[in-house]
Amino acid sequence: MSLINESKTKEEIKQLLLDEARLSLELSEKGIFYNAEDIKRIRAKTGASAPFGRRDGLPGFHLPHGNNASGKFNKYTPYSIVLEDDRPILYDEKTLIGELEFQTGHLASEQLLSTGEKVRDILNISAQGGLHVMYSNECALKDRGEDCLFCAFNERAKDGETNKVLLKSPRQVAEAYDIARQAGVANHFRITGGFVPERRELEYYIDVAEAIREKYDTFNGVAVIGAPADLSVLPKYKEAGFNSISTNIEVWDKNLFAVMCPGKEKRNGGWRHWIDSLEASVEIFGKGNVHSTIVGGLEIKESTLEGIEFFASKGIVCHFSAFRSEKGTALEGFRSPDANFHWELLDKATDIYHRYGFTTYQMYSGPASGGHSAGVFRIKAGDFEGDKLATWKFPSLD
Amino acid sequence: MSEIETQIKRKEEVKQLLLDEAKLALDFNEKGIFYNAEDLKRFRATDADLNGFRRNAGGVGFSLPYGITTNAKFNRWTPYSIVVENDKPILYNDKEPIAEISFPTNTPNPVSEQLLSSGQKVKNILNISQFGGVHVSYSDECSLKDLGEDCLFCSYNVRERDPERPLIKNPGQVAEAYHLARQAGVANHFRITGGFVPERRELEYYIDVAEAIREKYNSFYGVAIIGAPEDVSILPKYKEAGFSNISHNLEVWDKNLFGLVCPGKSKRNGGWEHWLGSLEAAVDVFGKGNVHTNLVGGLEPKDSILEGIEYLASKGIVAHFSVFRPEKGTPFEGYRSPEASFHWEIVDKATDIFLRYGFNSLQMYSGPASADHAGRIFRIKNGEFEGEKLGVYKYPSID
Repeated sequence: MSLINESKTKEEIKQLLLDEARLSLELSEKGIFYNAEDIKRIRAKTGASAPFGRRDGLPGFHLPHGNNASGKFNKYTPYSIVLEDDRPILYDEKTLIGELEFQTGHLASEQLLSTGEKVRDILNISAQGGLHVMYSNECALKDRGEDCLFCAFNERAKDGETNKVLLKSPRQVAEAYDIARQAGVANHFRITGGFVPERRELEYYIDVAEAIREKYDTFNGVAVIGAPADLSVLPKYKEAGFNSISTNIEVWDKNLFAVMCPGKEKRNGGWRHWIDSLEASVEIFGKGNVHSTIVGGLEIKESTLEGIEFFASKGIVCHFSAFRSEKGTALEGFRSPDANFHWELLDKATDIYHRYGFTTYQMYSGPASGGHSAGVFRIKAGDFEGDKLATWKFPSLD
Repeated sequence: MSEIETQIKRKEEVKQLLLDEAKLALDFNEKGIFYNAEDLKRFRATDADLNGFRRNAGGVGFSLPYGITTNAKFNRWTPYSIVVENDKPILYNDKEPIAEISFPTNTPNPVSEQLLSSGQKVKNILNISQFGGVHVSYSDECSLKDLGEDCLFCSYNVRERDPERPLIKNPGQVAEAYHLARQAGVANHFRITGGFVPERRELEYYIDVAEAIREKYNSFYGVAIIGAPEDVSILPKYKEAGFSNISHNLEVWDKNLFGLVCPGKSKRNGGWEHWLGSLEAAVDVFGKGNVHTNLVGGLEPKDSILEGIEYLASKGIVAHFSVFRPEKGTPFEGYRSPEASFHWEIVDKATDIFLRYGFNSLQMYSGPASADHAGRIFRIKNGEFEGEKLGVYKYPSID
């Protein structure tokens, strides 16, 4: 085969993978029909589970070419999962798409801490070999009636089953981290959560970092914080050991920021101050190590893309997700835009990331929404073998 | 139980049936409906009756058994379907037959086809509503387009591309079409609206139209839908011209969202406070219940829109609202309207507010075109129906 043909084949596969990434958005929009009992059996067999405490019937899964996907149950959809020889097969109407692979948790998640909780009560272990800690499952903005309108943090906190520990102590976090690191799956450490009363974020994050560093000289991690009133505290996060920082702006449009994030608007100096904080962070953490996130679908595409482009030009990776309306929030009953809308965002945003020279590592090193665009970013970069997009892994720390 | 008590009980039962049917109608908007277009062809009137405002829904309009009308886009993946059985269109929810439905037989009023002296048809100038009123979009373009300040949800400038539509109708044409409609007994309400006119020459235009109408008629009953004027002292001129109602369509209640969704209205008319100030000033001129606004239901959280409706009602302003429908070619293309339960909660709570503030049915229908969305629920709750059917609202005859 000539070089030209090989190259063409790679391009064809790239398109195949991009089409599959687009399909995953279709599944989110239209949902999937399946037999709950079948899924229960597969879950029991594989240990598949839904991440971030969103307990849905269907766990997340990999599509046949490796793209991540998920979908809610819907009786009226062209998509269905049928068990064939005990293997979950995805259909589009009567057309076979392929076999799915459900995402599973890591065994270390089930280990017990000295305080009796399981590791998974304190943190999530990601498929990329990183950790995600929500230090609190409550947000202090609730008491002021200033929750972000789309956010279900305080709603999910009511679920005593999924979120057993509402506020995790630095000691618990460090112990869970230690167990995960020994298992080789703490190659990245993300810590986030709701607003802490009295904004004691800095103290808490430093306490956590110090507790981790009692056993380890360094760790690789991101502190997801609200824009601090005094920007001069930003270097302290770096001194504590975090090598990335994220300040989540949620929406780019200034007017909409005030509507959607009344607490962030009022308690943190407003939209302008959030931008200032992000820009100041670049001076400390360096380009590509400062992150933000936007909830894709709350504002028009042009606005989100303008924000992503602006941030990229400043060295800030602005990730984004696909808005999903959650029960109990002010946006309950709203519906996310259609798959085409989300695809256009994904397609154009990943072009921007490439144009500004961000790396795959940076795509995964910020907030949890990083994974939403990272797959497409990697496909466009040709970061796949054969016709499969493998799960990306953080470089091993040890 | 006395006969009167039995009647009251029955009335309450029917009221609930009608409300349930109205709620179901919203579900069709959300989920769509499956049907075989060929099967339904013989039941349906022309497309024109389904498409009064040229928003081509690509779906079907029909009436439910208790008289609630609805429309739904075609969707293969929905619990709802229309199946023709024994030559009757039957509505199904999954495999359960719900009822026999009917299709609008109200073919366009023949007067719509009449020719004006300038050669256009009446329907090129105005729409005749089922309520016996006329609706004029005086222009089919909005000057905010050139400024890049169109309201984000609005397809006015997108629909402008329809080559058959005159872009600006002259007052003489409007008055002539009005005259033909009035002679046919269907101009009992006159609504005039449109995009922003370059240089904001709304007042002059509206007065010219009113004067042209009054060349033949002493009075008319109508609403002028205008942007908040920079100088609110001109508001009485609309009343002097003959308009008995006025509407400024705020579109969203939340102040920050107003700036985002309606950049032109926000920048060109003194901003949200000025719009509100103009509405309140209009109450002093036109009286409580004769000042209207419109909100697009589904662009902001329920609590926000209901706060707006309550506030405005307390000032004597009827805040009508519609169901947001994202339109092609607008910045909101690709959005999806909230689910039916969201829209139901708004219409249910808002109509309670309207009733609490003592508005009446005529006021519910005298403002912007969104009137019937809440108007019919208002009428059901107010017991304005005979037997087991909600009839179509009709404006009182003015002749």
